[in-house]
Amino acid sequence: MALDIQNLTKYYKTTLAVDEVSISVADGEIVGLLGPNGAGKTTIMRCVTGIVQATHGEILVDGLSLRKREQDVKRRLAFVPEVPNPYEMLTVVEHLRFAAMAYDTEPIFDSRHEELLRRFELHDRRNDLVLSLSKGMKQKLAIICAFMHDAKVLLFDEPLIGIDPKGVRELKDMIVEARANGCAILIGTHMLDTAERLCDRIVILRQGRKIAEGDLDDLQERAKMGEDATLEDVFLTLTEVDTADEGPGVPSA
Amino acid sequence: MRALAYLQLRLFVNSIKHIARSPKRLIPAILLAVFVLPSLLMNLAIAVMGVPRYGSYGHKEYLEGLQAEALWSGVFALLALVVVYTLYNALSEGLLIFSASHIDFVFPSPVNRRVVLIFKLLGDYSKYAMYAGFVFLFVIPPFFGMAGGPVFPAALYCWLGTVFLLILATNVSHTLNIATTYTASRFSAAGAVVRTAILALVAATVLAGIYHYRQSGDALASLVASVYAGAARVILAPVSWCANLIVGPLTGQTAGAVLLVAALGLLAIASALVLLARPENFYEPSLGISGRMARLKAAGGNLAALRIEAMKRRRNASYSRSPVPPFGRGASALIWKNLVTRTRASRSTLAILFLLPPLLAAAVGYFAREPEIQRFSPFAMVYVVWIVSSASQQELRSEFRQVDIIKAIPASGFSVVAAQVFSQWLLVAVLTIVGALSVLVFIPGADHYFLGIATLGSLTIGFVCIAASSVPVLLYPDARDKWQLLIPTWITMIVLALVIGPSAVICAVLAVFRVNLAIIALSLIAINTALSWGALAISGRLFERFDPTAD
Repeated sequence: MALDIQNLTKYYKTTLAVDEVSISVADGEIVGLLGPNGAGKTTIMRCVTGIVQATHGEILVDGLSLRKREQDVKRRLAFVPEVPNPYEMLTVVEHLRFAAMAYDTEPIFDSRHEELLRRFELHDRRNDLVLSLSKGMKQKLAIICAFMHDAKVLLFDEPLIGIDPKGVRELKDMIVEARANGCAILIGTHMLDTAERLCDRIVILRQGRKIAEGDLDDLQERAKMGEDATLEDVFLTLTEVDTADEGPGVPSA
Repeated sequence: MRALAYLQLRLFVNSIKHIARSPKRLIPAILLAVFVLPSLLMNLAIAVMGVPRYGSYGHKEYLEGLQAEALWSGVFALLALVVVYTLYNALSEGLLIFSASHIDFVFPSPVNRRVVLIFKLLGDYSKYAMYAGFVFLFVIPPFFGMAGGPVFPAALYCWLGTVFLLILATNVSHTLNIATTYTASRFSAAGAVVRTAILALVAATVLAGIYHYRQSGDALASLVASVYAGAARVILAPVSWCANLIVGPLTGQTAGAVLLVAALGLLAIASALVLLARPENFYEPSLGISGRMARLKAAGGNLAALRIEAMKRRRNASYSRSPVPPFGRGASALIWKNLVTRTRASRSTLAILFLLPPLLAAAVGYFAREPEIQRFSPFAMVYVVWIVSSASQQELRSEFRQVDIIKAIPASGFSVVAAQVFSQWLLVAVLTIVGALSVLVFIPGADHYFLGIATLGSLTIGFVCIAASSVPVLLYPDARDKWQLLIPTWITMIVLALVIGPSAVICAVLAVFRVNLAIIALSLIAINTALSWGALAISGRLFERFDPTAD
């Protein structure tokens, strides 16, 4: 398994954000991480990237333990946060150079960044300060940063929000290409139609717990719905909870 | 390491370029340099050459009337407060603040966590060096010179000592913070113990001072008794060494300064090593506080956003009912909106509005018994209102940042600006009325005729000052840009000095002749209405072509 999350539990002080969640993503597989707000998607991503530390459980990337070999693990990861905050006082190309330096991939910088800037139509803005970019352009920049090194595992937290249709198409193509190249991809999203089309497998979370996992057929069966049911129908059925059952949730910081 | 060095270098270079390329930023930067640099350089010359600018008096003459122990105690108390406050905060929540960009792009990267921490600390240390350098190399040297002591090494020792103390306090705080606030910490109970010990030390020191004051009635002697001779001096030994370094050149006791600096330096280095040796993931405790700081920064001086952030921290962000019944249409609805938000989010400010004037008036009535002071005391109200009105610039700025809402309102620019100014003025009016009543009740010697003039003056001056403040706000709207903030502040000071002029002249001339209050009132209203109208007309036009995000 390229990414193996085993019994991940995360408490923020006394709030339980993720409860004994296990997810694995194989080489060349795209897994969608779905769940209502506060379900724990972002927390799982942050645990995998080492931004926050799991209270219990183990995270393995390419067989390496995050706890024991953090830097080696991070070298194999790429992460696009939900609302990226790039350095506003860097130019676009400086930002990419910084990303390349951080991941020690400077030798491929020149060829890689030119190509990515063109694909995401940021080439004309390469020498502009990030300060002057629109929200969608900043999102594209964060995505390009993630593709600046050859990551084994790609983590996307709501990657499609705020990007123009051409950018969305480009990103989807790149995700599919990455899968073809053997990358393991975990996508946290609320865009169910995209998840249905793009993902090989879906994990549904509710209140920090994994409540379902599998492809659409498995989920339809789990939700006791027919094969005409869409992922949206299945998701809404599975995540339906009584108000009294609703936990406090963990807001994204 | 190289990636972070590159990042810091490019951020610095680009910030300089960013300032240089925009006149709105470049002009204030140049003006600041022109005004401040010569005086700083002159003081630096004094520090280096040891030439007292104001003449040397010798320690004895210079300190005449001042007790050396009291001076030391004052400096110690100030430094100790900073240190204790930092340590206490370290035990309650995250202390390391990183930019949101760092969280998104450095935290997930393979850059070594200790390297990230080293860069963070070096940035903080250099800030301390700069701030302390400003004080001890530019501001303090003339005082050392006047005391007749050696200026250059003394100022340098003070600077180094203070920087080392601040570094020590920071390192200890971060170490405590990482070790005790980390989610899975085994030391959270120890953190509670340390926090209690800090509170106990502060309480014991304060109580000792109060006890001594009740015995002696001498405030300075009590300060010395509680601090100079108290346990705090022993427990916070590094703070007392730093106080020795600072007070030494004024009292002539500079022997051993090098040793004290060396001791503080060693402690600073040792504490840094201990901090860097901590195994915990410090990213996590920093997330909450960094996120909050990022939101505050993004708010860009938006006071409403800052208040909402404070409300969130108090966990009382939800309100079921409006405290003010709805009223108004078009631009005047803004007045209602402003009242609702202020009454919800600024309760402490409102409480001060109602409590401070009576307290101040009672204090004046009780302590300042000289008849002349009591007689002219109402005019203090005008001064307070003038200050409060000039501070309203920040409020106006934050209101005008809600451009998506207020520009969409189907009303003229004049009406929108007038509504915003009126909303701000309502608070000034409340303050004035409460102040007038307080003077009437608590200051028996106040001249009622003067009180009438001061009240009318405050009400009209308050409005014209706020109206005039709106002009520079709309000329320089971007509150996130600190360079842009300098010019409007200067313009506001000039504008407020100008608009208050006619009122001051009218009040002074008519009061000398004891002219009827009604005539004074009419004169003030006439002149200030004309001035306000003019200011609002200019602001209204500016508002119509206003874009707060324009560079």
